[in-house]
Amino acid sequence: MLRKKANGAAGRARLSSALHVETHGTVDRRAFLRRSGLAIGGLAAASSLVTTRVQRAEAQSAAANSNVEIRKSVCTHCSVGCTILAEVQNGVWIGQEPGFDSPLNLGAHCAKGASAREHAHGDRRLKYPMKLVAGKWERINWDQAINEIGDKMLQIRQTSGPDSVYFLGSAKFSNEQSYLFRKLYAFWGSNNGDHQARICHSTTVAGVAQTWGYGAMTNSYNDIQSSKAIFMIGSNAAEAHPVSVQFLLRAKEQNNAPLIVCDPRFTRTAAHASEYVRFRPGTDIALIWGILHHIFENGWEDKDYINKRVWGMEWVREEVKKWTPEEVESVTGVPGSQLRRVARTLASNKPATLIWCMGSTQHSVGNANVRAYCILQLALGNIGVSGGGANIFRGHDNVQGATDFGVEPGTLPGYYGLSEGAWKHWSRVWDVPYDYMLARFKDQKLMQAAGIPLSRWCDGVLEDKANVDQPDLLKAVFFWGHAPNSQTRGPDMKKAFDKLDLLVVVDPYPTASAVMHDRTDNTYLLPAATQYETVGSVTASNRSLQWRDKVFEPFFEAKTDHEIMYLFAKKLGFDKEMFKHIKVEKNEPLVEDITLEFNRGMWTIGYTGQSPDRLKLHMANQHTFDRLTLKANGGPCDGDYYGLPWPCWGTADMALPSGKKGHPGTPNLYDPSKHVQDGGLNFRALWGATVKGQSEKHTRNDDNLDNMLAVDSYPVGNEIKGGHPAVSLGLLKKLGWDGDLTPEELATIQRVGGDKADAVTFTTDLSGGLQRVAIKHGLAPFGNGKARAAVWNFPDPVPLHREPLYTPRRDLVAKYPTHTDRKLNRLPLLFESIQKRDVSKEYPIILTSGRLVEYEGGGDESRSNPWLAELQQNMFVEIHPTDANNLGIKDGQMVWVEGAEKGKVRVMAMVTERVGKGVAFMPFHFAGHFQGKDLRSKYPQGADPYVLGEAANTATTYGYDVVTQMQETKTTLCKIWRA
Amino acid sequence: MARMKFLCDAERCIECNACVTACKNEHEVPWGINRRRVVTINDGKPGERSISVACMHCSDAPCAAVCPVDCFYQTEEGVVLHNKDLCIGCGYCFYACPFGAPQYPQASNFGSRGKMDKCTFCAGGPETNQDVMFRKYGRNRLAEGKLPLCAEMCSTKALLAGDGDVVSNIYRERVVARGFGSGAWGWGKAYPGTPG
Amino acid sequence: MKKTDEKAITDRRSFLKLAGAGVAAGGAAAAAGAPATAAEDKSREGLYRETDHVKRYYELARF
Repeated sequence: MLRKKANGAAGRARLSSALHVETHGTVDRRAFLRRSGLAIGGLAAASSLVTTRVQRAEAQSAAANSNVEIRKSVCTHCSVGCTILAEVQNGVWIGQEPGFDSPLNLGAHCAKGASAREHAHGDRRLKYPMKLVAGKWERINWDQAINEIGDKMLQIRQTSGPDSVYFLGSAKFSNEQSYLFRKLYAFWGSNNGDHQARICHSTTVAGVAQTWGYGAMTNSYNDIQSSKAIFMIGSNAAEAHPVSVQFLLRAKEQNNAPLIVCDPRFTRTAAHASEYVRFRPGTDIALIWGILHHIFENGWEDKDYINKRVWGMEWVREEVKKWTPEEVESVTGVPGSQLRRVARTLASNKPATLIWCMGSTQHSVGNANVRAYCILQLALGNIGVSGGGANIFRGHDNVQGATDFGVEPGTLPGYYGLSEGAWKHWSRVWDVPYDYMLARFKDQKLMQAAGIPLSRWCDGVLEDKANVDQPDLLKAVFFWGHAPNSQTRGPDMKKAFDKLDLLVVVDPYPTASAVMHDRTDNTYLLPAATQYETVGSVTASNRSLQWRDKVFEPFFEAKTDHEIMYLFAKKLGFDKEMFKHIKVEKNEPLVEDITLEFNRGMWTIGYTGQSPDRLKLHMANQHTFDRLTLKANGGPCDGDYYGLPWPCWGTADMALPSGKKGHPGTPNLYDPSKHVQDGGLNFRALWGATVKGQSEKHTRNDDNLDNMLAVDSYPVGNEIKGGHPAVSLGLLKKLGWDGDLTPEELATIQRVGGDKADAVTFTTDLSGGLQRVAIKHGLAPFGNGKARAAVWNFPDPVPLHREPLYTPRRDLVAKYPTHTDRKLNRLPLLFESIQKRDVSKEYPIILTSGRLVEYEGGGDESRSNPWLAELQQNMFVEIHPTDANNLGIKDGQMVWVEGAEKGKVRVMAMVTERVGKGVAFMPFHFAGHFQGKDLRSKYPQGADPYVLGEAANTATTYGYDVVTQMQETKTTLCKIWRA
Repeated sequence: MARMKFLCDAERCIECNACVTACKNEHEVPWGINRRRVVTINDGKPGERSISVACMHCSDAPCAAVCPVDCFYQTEEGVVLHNKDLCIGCGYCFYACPFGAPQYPQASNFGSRGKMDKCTFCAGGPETNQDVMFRKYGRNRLAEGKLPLCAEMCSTKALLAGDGDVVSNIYRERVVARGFGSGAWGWGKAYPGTPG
Repeated sequence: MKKTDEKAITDRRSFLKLAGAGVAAGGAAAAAGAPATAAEDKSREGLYRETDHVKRYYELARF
C-alpha cells in the first residue's frame, strides 16, 4: 500500500519548480529530495489522517470548549527539554499549544517537537506483543511473551551464566525507568547492560569528568546568552538542537558575540557563523593545538586562573609547541592565519563558551578530543564562569539522566563504579544484603568487572569464545528502546543477530531490529509506551530535572517500561527484593517511590534534593523562573534554579545557612562567584591532595609533590578559604565541625562506616549530614581541587593527534600512529592492526555522518510520523562537485557507497559544496533497506515506518575509543560509484 | 484596526521546519499539502539563508484579482481567506501568487485539482459550524485569542506573526542590535509601501 | 537579558498601546464565548484580540 504512487506527483513537482524560480533557481536539500521521492505513501497517510481529523473534530465539538485539559510533558527527542503543552479532551490528545512559560524553550519547538501530537495517532506503532514463528510475525499476549522469554533467559543462565544476556537500555527512559533498568540487570547478576550514551557522549563523560570532576554540560543553554564568543566544534545545533539556537543567535545579536563554527561540513549552523573553519575529519586535536599555539605564543592565556585552578598545563605547553601553523595546516588543512584570527577572537572576547557534540566524540580518539577542548577553555579561564563553560549538548531527551543512573557496563547509579564499596552502598540503599547481590553473580570478579559496551555487543556474540573474559558469549540480547542502525558495522551486526539464541525488542516501534536479520524464531517484539503515556522525571542537558504528566493512556496493548521491568523481575524471581521499598499496583511500580529511592542513594552528584514534590512544584510554576539565570524570583520556588540542576545537594528539606529549606540546584558548575548554598561550586578534588609526575613520558626532575588542591580560589563563604579534599567524617573532625552533626546523622554515619566511620564520605553518608554541615561552612561536599590538563590515568595523558584507523593521509601514519592493540571490557580491541592495512587507494573518499532536523536517532519513531516523514523521503549521500565529476556522478542519481570493510549502501547522490573535496556525508537515521534490498515486507503488518532507506552505518567500519569504546562514525573511508 | 502580517527574519531562520509541522499538527493537513514550507537559497554555500513561506495575506492579493469565481475575501485585519464551496480548483491563483501559497489536494488534469487549500493565518474560514470549519479550513486560533501556531512555535523566533506594527517593531529592534537589516523577506512584495 | 530589562525595551508608546488594547480585548473576549460569530459567509469581521496569550507571544518574540 505504501509503495503506491500517488497521483499528486505532477502538481507538486510544478510547485517546487515554481519555488525554485522564486529563489533564484537554487535547489535546496528538501526540494531536491522531494522531486524524486515524491508522494511515497501519500494515499496511505492521507487516508489515515482523515480518520484522526474527524476524531479530533468530534472530540472538539462533543463537549464544545468544555473540559479541555492542559497536560504538561517534555519533548522526547533532544536534550533541550522543551515543554509540550497537550490539550486533552475526553482522553484524546486534540491539540498542542506553545509552552511559553517554560524557561528552557520559551514556547519554541523544532519540527519534531511541533509534531509530537502524532504520537497520539500512533498509526505505525507496534500494537501488541508479537513473535516470529517460522519466519512469520504472530500476535501473542503479554503473559505468554513474558513466560517464554523468561524461561529462555533462565535456561541461558543455567547453561552459560547470567553474563550471556545483554540488556541494551535506552536514553528514552525516564530517570525512574533508567534507575530501575540498572537495578534490573544488577539483580539479574550481570554488568552487561548499556544505552545510547556509549555511542553519543561516553567520551565526553569520561574525558570531562577526569578533567574537572563531573562529566556533564557545565552551564546551560540559557546561559549562552551571556557569552561574548561562541566556539562550536562538531556540533550542528541548527539540526540537532534547533531550539537552543535561539540563545546562540541572541548572544550573537545582543552581545555582538562572534560565532565560530569548526566542522568538516558547512552545516546549517555554519551558515549562521561569523567564522567558519573547515578541517579534515579526525584532526580536532591538531586544530585545537593550532589555536593554543597562538594563545601561548602571545601570552593570551589566563595565567592567574591556571595557577590557582589548573594542574599540568606545562605538559600541554610542551606538546603544543610542536604544532606550528605549518604543521597544523598540513594535518588539518586550515591556514595558520585563520587559526590566529580565531585565537585572537577567543582571547579578546571573554567569556567564550565552547560547544561540542557527536562530531567530536565519535572518534577512536574521542576522549582526547574532548580533553583538548577542555584544556583550551581552561587556558582561557572560561570554565566556572557564566557565559563560558563546556556546553556539551547531549543528544536524547534523557541521555544525561540515563548516564547518571548508570545504565552502562562500568558503574552503578551515580558513577559509584563497581567496587565492593559501591555494591555495598547500593545494597544499603536497596535494603538487601550485599551477600544476596553477590550470589546473583557468577563470582565477585565478574561483579566488579566492567561489562561489554553496546558498541561491541556484536563482537560479544561473534568473537572467538577463548578471547572473551566471561564464561560464555552473549546468547540473548534485549533491544529495549534502542535502534541498531545507529551502531557501526551493519553487516557484522546482522551476523550477530542471526546467531543469537534469543532476541527481544521492547519499543513503541518494531525498529530495524525486527527486520535486518534472517531470524525465523525466538524473536519477540514487545510494545512499550512512550513517555507521553506515563509520568516521571527527565534530565535535560543542563542537568535540570523536569516532571512529565501523563498525556494519554498507553496505546493499544502497550505497557510502560517500568511495568515491563516489574513483570520480568517477577518472572525471574527477584521482584520481592528489587521492589522492597517501591509500591506496585496492578503490576505497575509507583514512579514517585522510585524517585524517592534514588534520592536516598545518589549523593555523589546530588540527585538527592530533587523530590517529586519539588519537581512538580517547579513544573506548575515555570513562569516564575528567569529566562537568563533560571532562578525563580518570588513565588513558591523562590531562589531555586529551574529543575534543580544537579548537584542539588543534601536532602530535599536540608536546612541551609540562609534559613531556606532545600538546596536550589547548581546552574553553572564550578562557579565560585556564589555560595554553595546558592549554587556555587569549584572543581572537584578527585585526584588526591598531592601528586608526583606519574607518566613515564612526563616524569619531572624534581621530587616535590604537586598540590592538587585549589590555591586561593574558593566559592563565596568558604570558611577554609582554599582547597580541601572531599568531605568525610574524618575531615569534619579535623576541622572541629563534627559537633554540627545531629545525633541521628552521626548514628547513620556510624552505621554505614562501622569501625571506619571517619572514612565515610559525602558519597556514602545516607543521612546527608556531611553535605549539610559542609555547606553550612561554605564548603563544596566533593572538595575543592584543581582541574587536570593532563589525565595521567588515560593512555594519552596530554591529548595527542593520532591519525584515524582509516586515513587517506598515509604519509602521516608513521608520525602520528594510532594506539597499539589491546584488550578492554572483556574483548580484544584493535588499533594498529587495522590502521596498518592501507586501503586508501581503493577507498579514497572520507566518509562521515550526522543528523537531519526532521529525524532523530535510528529514526523509526520520526520516520513513522507522516508530518516529519513527508519532509525527508530519501536517504542520500552528499558528494562534492569535484568528486562527483571525477566519478561521473550527477545530482539525483542513485549511487553505491561502499565502506572500507565492504558494507555498501545504495543511496541517492546529492552533489553539493556543503562537504569538502574528498569528503562524503550520509545521515544516519534511515533503515529498512539493507545493501540494496528493501525489507518493508519483513515488518509486522501496519508497523512499517512511512519512510525507509539504507542505514549509513551499514557502510561504517571498525574503530573504537581507547577509553570508552565509543564507535568511530565520523571518519572512515569509502568508494562511490554510479548504481 | 490591527493589520495581520507574517514576517520571516532570514537572519534567524535555521530551516528547522517547526513551522511546517506545527501547521500540519494544528490543522491536520494531509500528506502532500503544505500550507507552509521552508525554502533555502544558496544551499550548502556561504550566504545560505532559509525563509519560511506561506500565504503572506497580501494587501492587494493577486490571487483574489485573478479568481474567476471570486471566492477570495479579505478580513478587516488583512487576512486573505477563501470559500471552498465556491472554489473550482482552476489553479489561476497558484500562477498569480508570488509565494507559491495555494495548494491542491489531488492534482490530475487541469480543472480537477480539487479545492484549493492554503494558509488561513489560523483564522478558519466561512463556516458557522465548528466541525465543518475545522475539516475544511482548520482551527481558528485568532478567534481563540491566539496567533498562527507556526509563528508561536518557531524555534528561533524567526517567523513572526501578528499586528503588523508590533511585528515590524520587533524586527526593527533586532536590526538595531545587529547594526544591519536584510532579513524581512518578501515584505516589499506582499505589503507595498510598508517599511521592512 | 533579564525580564526587567526587556520591559525597558518596550517604549512608552507601545506600552500605552498594549494597555489600551488590553481593555478592548477584555470586552471582545466576553463577546467571543462562541468564537464562530462569523455567521454569514465571507464575514470580514476581525477576530484578532491582543489577549494575554498574544502579549506573551510578542514579549517572547522580542526576547
